Amino acid sequence: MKNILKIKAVIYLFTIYLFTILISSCNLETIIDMELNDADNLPVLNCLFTASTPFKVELSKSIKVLEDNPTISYIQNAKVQLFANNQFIEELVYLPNNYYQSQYLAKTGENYLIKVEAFNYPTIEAYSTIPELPNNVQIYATDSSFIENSLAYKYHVILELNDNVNENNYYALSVIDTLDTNSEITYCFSTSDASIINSNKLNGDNFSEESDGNEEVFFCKEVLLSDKLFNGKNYKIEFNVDARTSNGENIKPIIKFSAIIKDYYNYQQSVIQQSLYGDNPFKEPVVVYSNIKGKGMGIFAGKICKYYSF
Amino acid sequence: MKIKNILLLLLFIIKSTLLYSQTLPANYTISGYVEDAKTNERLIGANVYNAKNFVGTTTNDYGFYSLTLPSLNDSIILIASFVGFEPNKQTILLNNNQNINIKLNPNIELETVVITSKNKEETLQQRTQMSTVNIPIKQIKSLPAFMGEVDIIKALQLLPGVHSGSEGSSGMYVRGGGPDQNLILLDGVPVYNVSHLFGFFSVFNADAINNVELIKGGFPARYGGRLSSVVDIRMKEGNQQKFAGAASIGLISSKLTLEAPLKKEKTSFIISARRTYIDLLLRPIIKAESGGNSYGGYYFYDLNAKLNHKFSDKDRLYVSGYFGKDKFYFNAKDTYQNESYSDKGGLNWGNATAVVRWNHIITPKLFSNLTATYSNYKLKTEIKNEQQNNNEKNSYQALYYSSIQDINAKYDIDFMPNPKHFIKIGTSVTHHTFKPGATQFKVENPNFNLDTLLKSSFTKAIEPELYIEDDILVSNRLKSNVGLHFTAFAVGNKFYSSVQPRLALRYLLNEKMSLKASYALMQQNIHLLATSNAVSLPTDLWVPATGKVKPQVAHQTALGWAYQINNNYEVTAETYYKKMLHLIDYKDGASYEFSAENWQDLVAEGNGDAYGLELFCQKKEGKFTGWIGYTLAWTNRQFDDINFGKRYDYKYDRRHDISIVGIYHLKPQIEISGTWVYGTGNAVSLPTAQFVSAIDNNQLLNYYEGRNEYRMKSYHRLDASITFVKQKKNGERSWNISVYNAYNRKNPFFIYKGINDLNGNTVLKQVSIFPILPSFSWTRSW
Repeated sequence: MKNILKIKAVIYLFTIYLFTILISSCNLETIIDMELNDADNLPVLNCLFTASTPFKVELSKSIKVLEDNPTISYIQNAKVQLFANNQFIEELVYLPNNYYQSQYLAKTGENYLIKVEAFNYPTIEAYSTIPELPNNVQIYATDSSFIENSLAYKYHVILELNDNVNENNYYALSVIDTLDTNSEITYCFSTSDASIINSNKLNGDNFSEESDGNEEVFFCKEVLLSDKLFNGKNYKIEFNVDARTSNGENIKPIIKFSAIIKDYYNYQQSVIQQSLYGDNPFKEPVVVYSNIKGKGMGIFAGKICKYYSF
Repeated sequence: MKIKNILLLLLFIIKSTLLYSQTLPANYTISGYVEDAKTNERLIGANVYNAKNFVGTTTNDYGFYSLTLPSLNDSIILIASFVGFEPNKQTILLNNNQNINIKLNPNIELETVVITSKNKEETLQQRTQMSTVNIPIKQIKSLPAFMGEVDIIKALQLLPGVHSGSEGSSGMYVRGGGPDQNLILLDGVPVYNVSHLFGFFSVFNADAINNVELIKGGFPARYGGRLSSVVDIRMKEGNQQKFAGAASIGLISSKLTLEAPLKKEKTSFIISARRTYIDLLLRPIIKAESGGNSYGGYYFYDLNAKLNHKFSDKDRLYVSGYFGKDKFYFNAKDTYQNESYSDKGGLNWGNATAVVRWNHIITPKLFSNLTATYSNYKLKTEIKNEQQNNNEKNSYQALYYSSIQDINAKYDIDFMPNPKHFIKIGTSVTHHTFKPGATQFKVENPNFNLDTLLKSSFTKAIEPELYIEDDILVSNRLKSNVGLHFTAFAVGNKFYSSVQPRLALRYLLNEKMSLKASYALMQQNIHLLATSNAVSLPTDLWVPATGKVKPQVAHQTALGWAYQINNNYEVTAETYYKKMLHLIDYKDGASYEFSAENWQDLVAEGNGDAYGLELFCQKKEGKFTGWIGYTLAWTNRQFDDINFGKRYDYKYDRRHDISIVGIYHLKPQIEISGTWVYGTGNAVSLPTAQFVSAIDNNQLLNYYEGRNEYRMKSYHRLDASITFVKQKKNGERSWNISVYNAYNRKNPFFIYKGINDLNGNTVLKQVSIFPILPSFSWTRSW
């Protein structure tokens, strides 16, 4: 009898214990306090420069990762110096639009160094250059048709290039509406070319549509082409451009073809990939590429553009 | 040159062995099988020795022993012993070759077995093999169950040098290696995906298993094809004496095992099946919620079966198989006006393995084994959408398949010329077929039909292997296991070959203590492309080495010390260093999902290092059994295309790992058990700042100093169980109550940046998956 009572007491206590723990175990998400080596307040140098245009350097500060309302603040009193082939060119001037700008216009074939010194910030620097435009690129429209429904022309465009096997070439392709770089708007183009689709993953800016049994992907930003796609080959891609905006306005599309350096390609790809996978806890996070030397972040990379219109 | 020297050395060993056996006058061989007296189940690794001169041997993987002794016109005292069984002692007049099958009775009293006279059987400190643990299946079945399911892989995770990676997972990370680097053999057949329910359960049903052995290093030459471990799981053979069985009902699954002689002492079978019923329990709820229009669920089942037939004392045939499947499914229907819609789909995956094995005793010293095996792992995902009105039907269907299939033929010979040598020679050839993913789209409507198959390419490869090893007793103190494993891999136009030397040494310091050392070169011709870094998913892809992606290679060196205390406690300390080459991982941001790119373009190739110290103390017999294990380890990776080429801690680098396991037989009817584990938190990459993008001024990017720079909180957990056993007229009935995570520790599964719901602040949040989980099971055996 005594033993039965003991067992009953144990079962009773065990039940209370289980009940208490089950209630407390419902919330499986907890806020944790981890000591992070905060890398805030470091200089961020962003400068994607184009041949025949001045250097425009955006110099901002990094922000705490757990900042509640993150806002970008700029470093205004820095000394930003530009060198070409190890020769000092000029100190860039800070403009009210948060850019440090040069008088000097970027050229191909020069090796540039940008150096940034600012009080209370680590000194940073970066090297870059502008690649040569390939002289064997052809972009032309083979067909244009007037689409009754949208009252606009649709162009079927072909890009052909013959790649040099000994060079690592990277390119960017986009469709714009004007040659004025300050007011340039990028429009979508569509393709079913697997090499473009594969190397420019589907993200929020791209979408796919099925037409006549073929899947076409619409790219509404710059598309990047890596040397791996065409190394040493005659490369040909086909794509379609609607000469009409989403607001129903007709445009005269301009194809912008740029030769970019590898750093530019790596940076842009890593930015896209981080945006795609950044929130997935089951994936390794993507580290955004940077060619900034010293304790800082950002990118300093050059390109040269060529425009084609029909 | 090196290879030539090794071959010459091996030839010398074989030659001297044969000469030795020829020069000894009037040697007689006693051979046969050691069996469980109750079931005739063969006992693997049982000790057989002459108590007069303490010369002995152990049974091989099929329970066969062969002991050649010099005849002195005298009798010998032959003792056979095995953990959990009463030793068998018999006096034999040694005047001819004799075939003696020995039957051992289970030690039901559970008292400590003390063998009379000196215990001279081959104990832990006497074995050449190091880095090897054999857990009795009885002990595994006594451990606390997770959701009512005893799990062999989870039991192995409690050993030093092995851990699960993430909470609840059945993945195995051995000595800093990846989950693909474990050769998991079920009756000698490699099983590619050992996970049910997204990695939370393993595919092995403990009721059908006879023996489990884990080798973490110092691999004998007979094993090859993986870098980090061999888990050799042998199924039961089936009771040859009487009809027996067990039925078990648990919280989420039920099991039934039947075994019986078809012809007494000649033919027997075992069949064991298991199925979960989460789907059946949830179906009425889902149906009620959807108004009867939808249903869905998840279940897994597996089936183990084995048939064995004894043609004669010399010949025995085994046929065994495993078939398991996981299925997640859904079906939703709706109607609107005259139109009906339906969405259905699912994900199913599973392994199928089959073995036909012929054991033949050529001579009392020569045992052969001819095996043919088949292994197949398949995954299929399907989504189908249908829309129908009075006049027409439109449907869209997308399917995704992937699979890996092996067909293998193998011939092994065990040659025991004298007690100083145990030679194993074997050869095998495997035909692999890799289908790393095919996507099919089908569209049907009145105006248009489409059926396209993308990425249907598959790769075939041939992998021949050849090995020779000899366990040599050099002197009373020094014993060595020397071997060579040769492998080749022909895939496409590429041909890889490798000669892998294996060496293990044991030096007896005294009767109870020994020092051990080993070196093994391993090559793995296949890789696993994991979809997630946290859990094992069925979508993980097995891919072969190719012209572009080399086979993985590892050099492992280990030093150890083994000590046996009072015949009852085994203590080992081991240090190891493992260098891994040509490992693969996805490049930053790359993924095979939704990408039509060739997988070879998505991966980076790199190296890894792993080193550490493992301490292990085990008690195998008595009222109280269990072990304590501690591991101090480091492991890292270096890939040119990941983390900008900088070396980083492997995600599952675990500096400290402790496991304490105890099983106590309180009374013959009550058994209690508990496990406590502790591990340093997993490495994790966390952002330390945000910065503005150069492409879009409104976009903030996360800044990471590098991969895996931070650590999650440490992991610890207590599991406990109690089993009540009641003897019944023709068997026994038992109730088991288990509690997983008894003190409800919120162990980290992953960390993310989120918002505090109370004040809206940005914070780091930790997600745990398993709170305290009580479970029960009822078992009736006869």
